[in-house]
Amino acid sequence: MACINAKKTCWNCPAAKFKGNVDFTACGQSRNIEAENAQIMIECRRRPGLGHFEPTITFEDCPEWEEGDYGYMLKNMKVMILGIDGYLGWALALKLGKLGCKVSGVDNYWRRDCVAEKGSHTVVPIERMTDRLHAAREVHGIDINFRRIDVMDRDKLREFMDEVKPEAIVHYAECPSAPYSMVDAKHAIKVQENNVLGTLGVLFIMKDIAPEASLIKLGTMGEYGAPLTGRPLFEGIFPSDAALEWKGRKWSLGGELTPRDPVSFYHCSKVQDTFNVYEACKYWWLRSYDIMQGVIYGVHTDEIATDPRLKTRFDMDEWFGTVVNRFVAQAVLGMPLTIYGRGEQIRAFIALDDAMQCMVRLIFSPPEPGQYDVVNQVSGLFKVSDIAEAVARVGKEKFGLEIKIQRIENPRVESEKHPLEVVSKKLPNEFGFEQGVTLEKEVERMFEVLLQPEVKKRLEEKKHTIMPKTRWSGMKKESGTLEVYEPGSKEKEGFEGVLRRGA
Amino acid sequence: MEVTDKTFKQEVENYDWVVLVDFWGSWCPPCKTIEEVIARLEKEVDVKICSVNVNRNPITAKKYDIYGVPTLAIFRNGKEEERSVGSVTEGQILEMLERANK
Ligand SMILES: NC(=O)c1ccc[n+]([C@@H]2O[C@H](COP(=O)([O-])OP(=O)(O)OC[C@H]3O[C@@H](n4cnc5c(N)ncnc54)[C@H](O)[C@@H]3O)[C@@H](O)[C@H]2O)c1
Repeated sequence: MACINAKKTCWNCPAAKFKGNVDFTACGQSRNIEAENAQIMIECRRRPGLGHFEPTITFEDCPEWEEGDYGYMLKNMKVMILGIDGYLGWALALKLGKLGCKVSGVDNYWRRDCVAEKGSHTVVPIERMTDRLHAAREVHGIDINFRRIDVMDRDKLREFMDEVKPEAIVHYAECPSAPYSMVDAKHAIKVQENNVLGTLGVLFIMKDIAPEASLIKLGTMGEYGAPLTGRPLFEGIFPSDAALEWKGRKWSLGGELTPRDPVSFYHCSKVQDTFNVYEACKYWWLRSYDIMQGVIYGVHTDEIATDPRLKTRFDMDEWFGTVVNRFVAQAVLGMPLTIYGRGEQIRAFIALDDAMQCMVRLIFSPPEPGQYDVVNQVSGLFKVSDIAEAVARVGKEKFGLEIKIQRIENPRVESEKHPLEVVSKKLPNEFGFEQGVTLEKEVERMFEVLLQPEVKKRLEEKKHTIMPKTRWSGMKKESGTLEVYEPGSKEKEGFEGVLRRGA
Repeated sequence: MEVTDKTFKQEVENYDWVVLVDFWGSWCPPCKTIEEVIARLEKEVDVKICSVNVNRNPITAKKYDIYGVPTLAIFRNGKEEERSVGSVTEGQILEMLERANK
């Protein structure tokens, strides 16, 4: 399993620079092969001594790729993280640094500013970037090349990319919040501008500066929505045996993008990104994994746990807190856990540590030139009410907390009862991902962190940011409570999520 | 089997019965999805199947005027007899093979 990428070749390697008569537009969009005897040759940036050769060396035969815990890993791979100061970006930077990657990153503190604008703060205190970088060097011996840059500032980003010449680019630098995008026109436009135009700029810069690097782009499972028909959510692209039937005629849908049904203006920005990245791969032979990521929960990776100065952010307010994180925060505050509406919404989730494992695996198994692929990065499907039950159970059994659950008016426009079937086969089968964390385990770790007096105090200070006041309807009114109940007192009803991970 | 500019003549053009050739591109999502069907058919049906990556084998792609991928073509005694451009279902591939085997 460790050597899942052993047979990949120079085609997948970002060090391979294509030489000679390569006209990648030869097929599909347009055709014009210049030379009659076009031979595809490459030059290896890392081993220039090899001269020009055919791109057929496998990772297992190439001395630049070494066997490690995640299959073959490119020695000192240069990975640039856009949005490195964020919840996920910081955790990934440390993980990659520990693995020997040369990590660089940019951030403009958008997230810190937006949270402050909303009068909230990360409840787990985090250091200023300079102190984070210092601690990373001191604790893990990692040197991170950080630059304060707004991704929208294309000149600065281009200059930095040219200096670093990244071999993989992880793009986290977007606003991750649905409610923030629903506050009003100003917020919706700010989110879509930042996310959609920021990404479009990144694509143009990559085309000029780093066309051989893979772009690991973050999308979300919310791009698909939750179809009431229960049709499976494939990994972005229809499988070959999917077909469209109409009036007795039949066409294959294999390889076409599956329908998207985003659930907020934030999610719309991600769908637009999907198309922009897809097109860029087609026009310019960029290569990308577009990750439909489940909702993240948790506080733990081995690297951030080693020193308090290395912690990653943790938010619980109505705009930036994700549901599991919010529930644990509410439990610590002694507040009934806030379920929106019926609470039978089923969503896809993955723990922070597992998401980081997936990212590392994707980075070390790059796509081929021109390849656009989608992965559903998910480790479990849960109903919101079941998550509340699990948090209440762990809180009571391990920490002696008495926790209630409340149903409140749903601020969102979404179906509150629906089936959900998700396909997530690529990460486990093609990239070797193995789930390491259960919901209960991570919830327990979260309680441990949030019950620390300093963190609990920061929670208390921002308690008023928990109840949702941002409604999808545009109305500004705090959600009222519909019902408060004891955990374990409800009969199971409705649908169960189905996660398809098998080959 | 994977064939290249170098081996296409020997494996397809000089083969004296039916060959199904899958012209595909690494950038092309429909090609990726057909890949697994082709892999399965290679084991299940009694017809020679060859795959040509058009990006890596531009000479063959040009010679046969592959204007879109995936292109599935039936060669009989080295001559192209039928082709289908764009994604197809497994059932449609099997129909092609049935016609070819008559
Ligand atoms: N956390 C989740 O549950 C989740 C789920 C699915 C997808 N995602 C996606 O993953 C990515 C990372 O999420 P996160 O939770 O770490 O969010 P985050 O807000 O903590 O991280 C994003 C980082 O990017 C930075 N950033 C934003 N715009 C920027 C710009 N124009 N220039 C430079 N830096 C900029 C922010 O300051 C922040 O540090 C986002 O794209 C998000 O949509 C997150």
